[in-house]
Amino acid sequence: MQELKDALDRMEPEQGARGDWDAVVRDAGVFRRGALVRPLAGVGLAAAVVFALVLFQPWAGESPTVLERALAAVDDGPVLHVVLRDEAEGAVIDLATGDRTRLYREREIWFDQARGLREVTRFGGVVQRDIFYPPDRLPDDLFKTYSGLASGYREALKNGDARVLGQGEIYGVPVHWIQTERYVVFDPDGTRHVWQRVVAVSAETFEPIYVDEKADGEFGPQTGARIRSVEWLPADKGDFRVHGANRPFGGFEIRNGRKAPDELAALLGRTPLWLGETFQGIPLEASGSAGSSAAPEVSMFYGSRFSHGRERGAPDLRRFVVLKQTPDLAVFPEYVAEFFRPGFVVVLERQGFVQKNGLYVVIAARTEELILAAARALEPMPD
Amino acid sequence: LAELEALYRERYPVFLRVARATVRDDGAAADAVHDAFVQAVRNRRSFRGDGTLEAWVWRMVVNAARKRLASADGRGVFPEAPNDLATDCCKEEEGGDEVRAAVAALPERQRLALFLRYYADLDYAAIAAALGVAEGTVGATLNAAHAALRESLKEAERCRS
Repeated sequence: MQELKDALDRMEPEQGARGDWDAVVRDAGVFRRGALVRPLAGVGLAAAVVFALVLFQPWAGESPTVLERALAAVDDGPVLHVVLRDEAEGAVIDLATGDRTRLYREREIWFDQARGLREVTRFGGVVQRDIFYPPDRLPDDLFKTYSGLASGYREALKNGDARVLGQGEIYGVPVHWIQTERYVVFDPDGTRHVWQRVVAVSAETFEPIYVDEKADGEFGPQTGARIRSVEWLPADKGDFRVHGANRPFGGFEIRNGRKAPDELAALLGRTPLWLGETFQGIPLEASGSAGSSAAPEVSMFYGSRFSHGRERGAPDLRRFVVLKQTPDLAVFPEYVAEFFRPGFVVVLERQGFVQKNGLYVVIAARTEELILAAARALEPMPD
Repeated sequence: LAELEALYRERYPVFLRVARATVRDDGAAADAVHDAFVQAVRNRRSFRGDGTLEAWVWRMVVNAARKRLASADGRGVFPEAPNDLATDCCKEEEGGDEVRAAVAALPERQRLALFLRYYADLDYAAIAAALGVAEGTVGATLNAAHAALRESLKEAERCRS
């Protein structure tokens, strides 16, 4: 046996190599003390020292990594309860001064793989939708998104799939960016793309405060959401009961032709509002009634309706305005009714809500600027 | 993480030696050990403690080395050994080359079991864990490797004399 051992020793002599542990740690995506302090050198010694003390707490023994701290900040329960503030936002604009107050859309979600998903959408704090999906009828995209948040983030931190991408700042808060998912996809022509789901954790608390997606290294437009609060509850917790009725709002019925002003006034019981024969060069194309006699509505369309490559060439979809007006607030769902504020226009997702001359007017247009201009230009329609 | 770091610093030469013996290339061996430890660091939370940490890491090192060897694809240093190696005694072999040739003729599992036994000084349980086989299989595998090697080396000696 010794003869065999000697032969093997001759074949592969022992060497005194030492390896590079720092490279291992770096490639594993784990930030260590030295790796983090170096980039901070230019920030200023005092700030760096304070930051490092907060981050690493050297008096507490061995410093946990960013991923370890992020995992420690996550609860173990199976029920996700999260409030997300979308990047998409609206505004309350003073028609006289133009002063804007931002409004945000927020989604509050309870998700349990066993019980389903309840999603409450609020805009400016007003509930717009309150929907429950049972587990077997969950839309695929919602399931992926929230199952990812419910368990994917935690699992990625646990099993080593998560990678620290670097540091940054969001909403003024220093953060560590963590990649929790990464896919490589190919176009039919073979072009390679990398898709990543990323989470920003506070550098102070290590709690997740923002989620977003990256395509080929770039954040997408309006793909991110700020995490206002997140908790993982025990199996029997959470609120999965829908509290409010849903009345979908949206869509504008436009009919061909134009009704005379007196007909429109008769429908509404008062003089309708309009933007003139043309508004910013856009002609009034159609006007008519919409809704029922019990809840009369008048709609007006400024734009080129029949321009889809035939009569008038390619359509200019940036240049249209639709007005919908009614004297009856009951026409609108409760959440929309909240948006009518005298002297203001509330802008939300290409719609503006205005109250004027006893009429409630919804303006649909491509841009906030156009909506605001239309809100200011509303005037009684002459006989 | 501290345990992995200690293991790396203390046993790196041994990991590297087994990887070198497996892939027969300095750079590829270092890469294999590096890859294995990167994987170990990332997946350290999945280590359940039902074996030793070292055995758990050895399995990753062995797999990383196997992968490196497979990816070498023709550049590997363990070419397919001729079936009649034992009787091909007229070749000039010097130093460790005849051992190398004899080892190269072994099936992969026997080869790895030998390296883990003699270079890493692992016991049968750790070798079994590293290779993903039953502990009883290790003894049989090593016996078969010993017998084949003794036969090859005896044949080489006979040729030299």
